[in-house]
Amino acid sequence: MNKSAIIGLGIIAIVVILLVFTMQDAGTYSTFKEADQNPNEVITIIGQLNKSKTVEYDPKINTDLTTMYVVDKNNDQRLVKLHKAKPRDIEKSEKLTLTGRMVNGVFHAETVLVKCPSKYEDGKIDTSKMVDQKF
Amino acid sequence: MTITYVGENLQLGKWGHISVLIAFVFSILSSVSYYFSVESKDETDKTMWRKIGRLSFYTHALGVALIVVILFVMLFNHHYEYLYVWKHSNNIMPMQYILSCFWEGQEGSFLLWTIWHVVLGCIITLTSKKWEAPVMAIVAAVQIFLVSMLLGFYIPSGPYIGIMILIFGLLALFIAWNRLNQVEKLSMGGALLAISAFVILKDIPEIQIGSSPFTQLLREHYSYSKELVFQDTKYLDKIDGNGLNPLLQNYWMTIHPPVLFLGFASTLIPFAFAIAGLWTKKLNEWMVPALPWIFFGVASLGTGILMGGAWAYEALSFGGFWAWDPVENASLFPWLTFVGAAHVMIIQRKKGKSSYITFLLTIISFLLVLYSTYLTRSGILGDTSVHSFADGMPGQLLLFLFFFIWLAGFLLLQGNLPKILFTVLSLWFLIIQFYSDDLNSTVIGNISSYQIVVMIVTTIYLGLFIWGYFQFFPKEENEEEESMTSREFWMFIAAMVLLLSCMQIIFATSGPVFNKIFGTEMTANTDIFEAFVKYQIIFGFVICSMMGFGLYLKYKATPLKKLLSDLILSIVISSVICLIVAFTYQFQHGDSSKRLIAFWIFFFCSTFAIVANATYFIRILKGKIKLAGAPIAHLGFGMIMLGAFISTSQSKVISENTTHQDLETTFDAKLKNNENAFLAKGDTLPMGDYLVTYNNAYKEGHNIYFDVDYLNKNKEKEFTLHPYLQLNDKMGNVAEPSTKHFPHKDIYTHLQQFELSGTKEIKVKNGDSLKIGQGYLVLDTVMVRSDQTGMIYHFEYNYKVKGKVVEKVILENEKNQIESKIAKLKSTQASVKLLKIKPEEDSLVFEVADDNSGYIIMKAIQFPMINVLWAGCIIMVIGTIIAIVHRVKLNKSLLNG
Repeated sequence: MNKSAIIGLGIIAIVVILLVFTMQDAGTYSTFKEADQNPNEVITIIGQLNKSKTVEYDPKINTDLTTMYVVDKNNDQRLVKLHKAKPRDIEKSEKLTLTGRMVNGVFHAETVLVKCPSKYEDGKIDTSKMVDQKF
Repeated sequence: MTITYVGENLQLGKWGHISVLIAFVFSILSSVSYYFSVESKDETDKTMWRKIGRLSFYTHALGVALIVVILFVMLFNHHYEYLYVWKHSNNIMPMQYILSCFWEGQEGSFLLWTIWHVVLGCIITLTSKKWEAPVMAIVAAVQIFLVSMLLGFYIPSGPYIGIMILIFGLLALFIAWNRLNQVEKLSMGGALLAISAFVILKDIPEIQIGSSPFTQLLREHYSYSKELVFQDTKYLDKIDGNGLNPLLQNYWMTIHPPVLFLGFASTLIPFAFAIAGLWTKKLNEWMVPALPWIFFGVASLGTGILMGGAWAYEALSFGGFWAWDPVENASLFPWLTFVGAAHVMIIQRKKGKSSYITFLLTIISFLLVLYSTYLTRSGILGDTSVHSFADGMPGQLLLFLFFFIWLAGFLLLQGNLPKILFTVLSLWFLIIQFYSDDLNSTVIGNISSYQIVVMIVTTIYLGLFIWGYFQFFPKEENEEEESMTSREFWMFIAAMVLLLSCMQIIFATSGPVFNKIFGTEMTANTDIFEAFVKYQIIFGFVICSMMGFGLYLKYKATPLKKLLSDLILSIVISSVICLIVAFTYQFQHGDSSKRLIAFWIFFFCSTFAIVANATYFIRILKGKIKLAGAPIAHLGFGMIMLGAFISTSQSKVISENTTHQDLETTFDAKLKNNENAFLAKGDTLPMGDYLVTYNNAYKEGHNIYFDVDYLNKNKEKEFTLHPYLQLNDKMGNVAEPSTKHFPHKDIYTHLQQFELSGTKEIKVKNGDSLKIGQGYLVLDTVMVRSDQTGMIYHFEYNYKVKGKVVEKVILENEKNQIESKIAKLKSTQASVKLLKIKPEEDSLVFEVADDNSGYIIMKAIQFPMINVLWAGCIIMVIGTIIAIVHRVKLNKSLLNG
C-alpha cells in the first residue's frame, strides 16, 4: 500500500468516527413523560408556556430562578424551574425549547430557547404614526 | 368597486420590476452567449459570442444597479405601500440604518450577494482575457438563479413544470447529440421521456418563483389585506413602518453583511475557474489566475465572519464572540474548505499540475456557500436557532444547490456513461422531491421508501465520486511519492485537517436537515462543549503545530537535522513563555485534569505557531515584507487561535451572586445559577477586582441607559459602563451590553432585568407623616392664602431619619395649579410632590418617586486577552493581502516573460 492510500483510508475512518460520535451526542426531542421515566438524564423538550399562570421570578430571592408551567406536545403540563434569569418576552413566546432534567416531578431546565411569533405575520399595522414609547 | 388610493407611487414598483426582468433575461443571454463562445470552433464566432456575452452581462449589471437605486429610493422616501419597505423600515429610524434595512430582508440580502457577483464579474471581463468566456458563462449562470429569487412570479398548478423539463431536456439532448453513441442516445432519451411523464402526470400545486420587493404591496398581502385602514384612501398618511429589528441597529450590522457577502461572492470566482478548467480541458492552467482570487476570498470571508463575531460580542446578550450557532457555523464551512483549497493549490501551482482534491475543495467551497444559504434561509433550522429566517424559498434554494452539484459532478466524472448515469440519477432525485409525501407514507419495516431512495442515491453519488477519483489523472508510472519531510506533504495534510474540521461542524449543525430527510427527531446539542469544542480543540492543536513548523519545510524534502536546528529557537522561546505564564497567572480549569492538560498543550501550540512564524519572518526572510504573506497570515491566525482560546476558556463571570443562598442547585453542581448579581440602586457589590454600583438610569432617544460604575478597592471610580435597553413596542425591548476595553482584558456588562424607580401615589391623613426611603416626612408648618388667581399653599416638612431632622422640604404650588412643584430630597435619591388636596376627606395625596427602589440584575464577564484575537484578525488579513499582491505580480511576470 502506498502513502496516499493510507492517508485516504485514515481520512475516511476519521469522517465515519466523527459522524457516529456527533450523531450520538445529539439527543431527540422528548416529552415530560419520557423525562419522568429517565430521571437525571438531560433531555430536550419543546413545549408551550401556560400563559394563564404567571411566570414567577423574584430576583430579590434568587436572580437565576424562573418558575413557570409548560405544556408539552402530549398536552402534559409540568412545573418547570428554569435556572436562569427570566428571559425577556417569555410571556409572548409561542414555543419554548427546554433542555434539562426531571427531578422529583419538577423539570429543571438549564437552557431555554424562546421562539416568539414571527414579527410580521402577527404584527398589526401601526396606524398611530407617532410611536408612543412607554416604560 | 376599486378604490383609488392617494399618495401611492406604483410607478416606482413597475420600474423596479422591469429592472429585475432586465437583470434576469440578460443574465440568461450572457450565460448562453458565453457558452456558445466556448463551444464554437470558429475564431470569429468565438469573438462574436464573447462580445454579445459581455454586452449582455453589462446590461445585466445595469439592471442590478437600477434595482438597487430604486429600492433605496423606496426606503429613503418611506413608501410603505410596498410590503418590503413597510416590513423593514419606519419613520423614526436613523439614516445609517436605512442601509441595514436594505439587506435585512431575504430579497435584500440576495440582492447584496448579486451586487458583489456583478462587481467581481465585471473585473473578470476586464482582466482575464482567454478565460473570460468559460468563467463568465458560470458567473452569469449563478446570476440567473440569484436574480430569480427576486422575480415574484407564479407558476400555476398543472403540467407546466413537466413540460419545461421536457423542453430543456430535449434542448440538452440536441446540443449533446453529436458526441453520443447509439446506446447513450437511446438511454438518455428514454430517461428523459419517463421523467417528464412522471412530472406531467403529477398534479403540482402552484409554485412561487422568488419574491419581489417591487410587486408585493402591503394592502394586497394576505395577512393585512383585510385591515380596516385600507378602506381609507389616504391610508398612507396613517401608517408607520414595522421598523428594523433592534438587534440589527448597531454599526457592526451596517458593515458586517456587505463584507461577509463579498466573502461569499468571492468563492464563486475560483469555482468558476475550476469549472472552466474542467470544461475546456485546461486542467492545470486554471490555477494560475484562480490563486489570487482564493486568497482574496480567504481574507474577505474571514474578515466578514469575525466582524459578525464582533457584532455578537458588542450587541448580543450571550457574552462572547462565538456561540456555535448554526448561522455562525454556516459561514465558517466555506472558509475552512477555502483555506484548504488555497493550500492545496499552492502546492499544485508549484508543481504545475492539478489534482482531484484541488478541484474538489475549490468546488465544495462554493457549494457550501449555497448549502449555508439553504440552511439559514430556508427556515429549516426552526427550533434550533434564534436566527432562523422563516420566510424562505426552500425549493428554489435546493434547486440552486442541486444544479451546481450536478454541473460540478458532471464535469468531474470522466467518460459518457458515468456522466449520463449521474445526470439521470440527479434528475430522478429532483423529481422524487415532488413525490416525497407519497413516498414517506409508504413504510417498509421501520423506514419509509423515501428514506430508502435517499440512501440509495447518496450511496451511488459517493460511489461515482470515488470512482471518479481513480479515473481522474491516472498516476504516471515514474511519479514519485511525496516525502514525509516535504512541505507539500504537510500542506496537503493541513488541507485535509481543515476539511475534517469543517465536516465535523457540518455534521453537528445539520441535524435539522437530517431530520428533514430521514424523518428523525434529533435535537441540536445545547452543550456546545460536547457538540463542537471537544472536537475542534483537537483540530486546533494539529493546525497550530503544523503552522509552526510548516514554513521551515522545503519543497521535495528537508533534512531533519536542519529542520530541528531551525526550529529549536522557536521551541525554546515558546517554552519559556509558557513557563513564565504558568508561574505568574492563575488559570482556571475547573477540577478536570484533562482540561488542564488540554489547556497547556493548546497554549503551547498556539504560542509556538506565533513565535515560529515571527522568527521565520525575521531570521529566514530577514524582514522582507514582499515575500512574507504566509508567515504574517499564519502569525495572525495563531493569534486568533490563542486569543479565542484564552478569552473563552478563561472568561470569568465576576457578577457571581454570593449574597443569596441557593438551595435549588444542591442536587446538581452543574447547574450554576448564581451568575447574575442583584444590584439595588445605590448598593455596592464586589465583582472580581472591582466594586460595582448602580446609581442612575436615564432616557435618551429610544434608549434607557443605566450607569454602572466600577470602583477600585479604595472606592475610587475607575470607569462607568452604560448597558442599555432599546425600547421597541413592536418587536419587544432589547437589552444591549456595554463593554470596557483594556489592552489585556475586557469587562462585559449585560442587563438581565431591571426595575426603574417606582413612582407611587400615597394618600395620608392631614398631619400624618409620610414614609420615604429610610425616613419620614413630618409636617412642620402650613400656610394657605387665597387671592384672585386661586389658592396658594405653602407646606413645610422635616425629613427625619431615625428621629433626626436631616433636611427641610418645602412644597408649594404655582398659580392656577393644584399640584405642587417637585421637591427633591438631597439626602436620599427621592423626590416628592403634592398632587391633590382633599378637604372632604381631610387628606393629602402625594406622588413619591423613590429612586432607591429601582434595581438592576446584571451579568458581568471578564474576558482576558480578547484583543489578541482582534489583532490577530487584522494581521491575518494584512498577511493575506501581501500574498495576493505577490501572486498577482508573479502572474504578471509569468505572462510577460
